[in-house]
Amino acid sequence: MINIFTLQWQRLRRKPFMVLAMIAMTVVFIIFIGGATNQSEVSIPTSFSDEFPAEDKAALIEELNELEGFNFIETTYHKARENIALGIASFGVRLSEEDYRFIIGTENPNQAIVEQYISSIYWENLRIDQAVEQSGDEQTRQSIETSLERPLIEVDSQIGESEGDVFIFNNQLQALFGMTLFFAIYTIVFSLGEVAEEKQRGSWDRLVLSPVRKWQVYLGYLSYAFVIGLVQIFAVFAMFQFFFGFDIGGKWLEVLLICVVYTFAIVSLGMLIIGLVNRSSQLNAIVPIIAVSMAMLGGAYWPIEIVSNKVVLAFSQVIPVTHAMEALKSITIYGENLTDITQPLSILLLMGVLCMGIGINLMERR
Amino acid sequence: MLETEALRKVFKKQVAVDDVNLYLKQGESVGLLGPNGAGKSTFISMIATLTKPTSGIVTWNGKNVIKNPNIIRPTLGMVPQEIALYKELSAYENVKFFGKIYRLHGKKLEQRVQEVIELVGLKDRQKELVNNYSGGMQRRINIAVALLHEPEIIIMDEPTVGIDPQSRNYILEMVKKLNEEKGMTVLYTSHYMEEVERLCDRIYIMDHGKVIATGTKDELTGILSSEETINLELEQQSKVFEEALREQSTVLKVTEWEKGLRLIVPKNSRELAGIFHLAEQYQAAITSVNIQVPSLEDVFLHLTGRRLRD
Ligand SMILES: Nc1ncnc2c1ncn2[C@@H]1O[C@H](COP(=O)(O)OP(=O)(O)OP(=O)(O)O)[C@@H](O)[C@H]1O
Ligand SMILES: [Mg+2]
Repeated sequence: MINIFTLQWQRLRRKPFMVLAMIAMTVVFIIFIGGATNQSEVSIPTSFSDEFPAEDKAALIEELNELEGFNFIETTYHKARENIALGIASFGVRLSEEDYRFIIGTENPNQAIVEQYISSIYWENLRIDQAVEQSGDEQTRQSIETSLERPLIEVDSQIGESEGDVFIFNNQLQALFGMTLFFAIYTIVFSLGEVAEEKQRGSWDRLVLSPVRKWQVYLGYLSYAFVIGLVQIFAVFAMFQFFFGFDIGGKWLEVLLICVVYTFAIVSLGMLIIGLVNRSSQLNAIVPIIAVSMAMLGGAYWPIEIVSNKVVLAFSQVIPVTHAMEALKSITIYGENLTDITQPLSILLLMGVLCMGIGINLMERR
Repeated sequence: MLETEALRKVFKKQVAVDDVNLYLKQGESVGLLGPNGAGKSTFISMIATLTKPTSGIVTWNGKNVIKNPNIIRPTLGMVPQEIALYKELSAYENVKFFGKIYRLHGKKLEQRVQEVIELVGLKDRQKELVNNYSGGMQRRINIAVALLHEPEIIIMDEPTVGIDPQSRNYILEMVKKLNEEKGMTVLYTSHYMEEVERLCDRIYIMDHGKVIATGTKDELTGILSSEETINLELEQQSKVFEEALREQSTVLKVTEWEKGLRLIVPKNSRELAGIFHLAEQYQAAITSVNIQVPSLEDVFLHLTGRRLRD
């Protein structure tokens, strides 16, 4: 098994092109997707209803602009409509004291993010207002506001709740995780594809006739595909953390664990695919289809949170990418802990075990 | 020592190997001759325990190999029809890898690797990538790998396909030496009859999955020994002459070929005088006469009505 494992590295050293190309593609796509949108924020023309108190306008705009990745620009209702009609902005907001309205030009996934954020602000203000009304005392307002800024424990939990409702969108990490997981599929499955090639070439027969057991051969290949996949994922993560200033956060151990489980799931999936197709030319055709559709449905290209189609969401549940993305984002963006991601991790493990079992069975059937 | 009984393999629509009986004695060199698609590869892959037969048995020293493949595997050297090597690695690295797979290590490994590489005559070029080798050199390394574990029997599936005459010659000589000097049993598959004629003590001729003839070269050509072939070259084809020949009771068969007529007559029938007489009568100018000793090619033609290779 060790011999077969090391043989693959020996061969990789002579033919590193595929893996290097995958890493390069990952980097290019992350910079392109993650970098581009971050530099130019999404501008949102923001107008106020006539009765909105002029002195509160600036404060509200400032509060709105705390939402990362968006720039709320004060303008008149008329001007806002014009910009949207011209397609300069895809949507805008019109704010009244008690409620708000969207001016929509085209459907845009960002709208859901903005909507949730604004509604959380309005809810917060409404609650403060009600509290003030009940006591009829302007001082209460101030004390609530100061305690919200430096919250007490009870208030803290409330803020936590309202913020939890808001879908936080970190474009950099979304692109980093999505693209890395996506391109890792290629490297892993094509590395395993060597098994199919080996069978065609006849060297498989040599291994079968030798004293090496078949499971040792499989294990050699599986462990190679596993390690090369994990190395690729981590190389990209490290590169972006240390050289491109992305912030994955400090929880490397958790991130490693997620990647280990994800890589295992993909290795198993690869085994299943190879069990289904037996020629490497078929593999070349089928892998891109599978990888791309998994990335689309699993939220590697865009956040799964913006998808509302029930069918798509149901589908995404059987895709490893979905659960790995969820777990990675939980740990890094939402600051959750290991205990919070046991569900996606166990689903990935289960998928891995299932695919591996079926895959090896299919292979041995021939 | 190796024997198959009614060995049969049926793929979905087609019988690839049809109840083949074959035996090999220790130290023997046996050829399996047949055109493309005859079922040679399928047959030997069943012997080598790589394909499960539909029916029939294979025994090695009297023990059933199909039930327990490990009886034959350690003593078997298999040279596949394809170049079963890692082309991005050097010849040395390839041989060494398979040596390790065969549980060789340390000094012994290095020693065996050098021995087999030397045997196939690639000692000086062992560090080059297999990819950069000529077809003939690749074939030679393909054989070297099968010899690493010093097998008692070596099975070669068309080891000389598509290579230059020099490499081919080298391989044939090498196999001959292995068989004659080291006493290795050889099962050699080919669709070149010259190769099996030169190399093998006994020959099996296979077509459409069946063994259609077997024996030593002399025995096989003896199938045709009651007849001989006379090739007549004519200045131009003559229908009347041809018809007249057909009328002769001593001429068994007349066929046209590009330069004239081919006759099959009983051996020693002394027919030539009669033929010349007829030629004169019908004014057909004979430019050359050639009496052919039968070859394996003729045997194959006789048995199947087709040539080995087109
Ligand atoms: N795995 C398979 N599935 C279906 N049919 C097969 C398979 N392997 C071989 N055959 C068929 O069985 C027949 C015998 O094939 P085989 O490869 O044994 O011939 P061969 O004598 O080795 O020919 P060649 O000289 O071309 O190597 C062929 O008609 C081939 O199409
Ligand atoms: Mg063949």
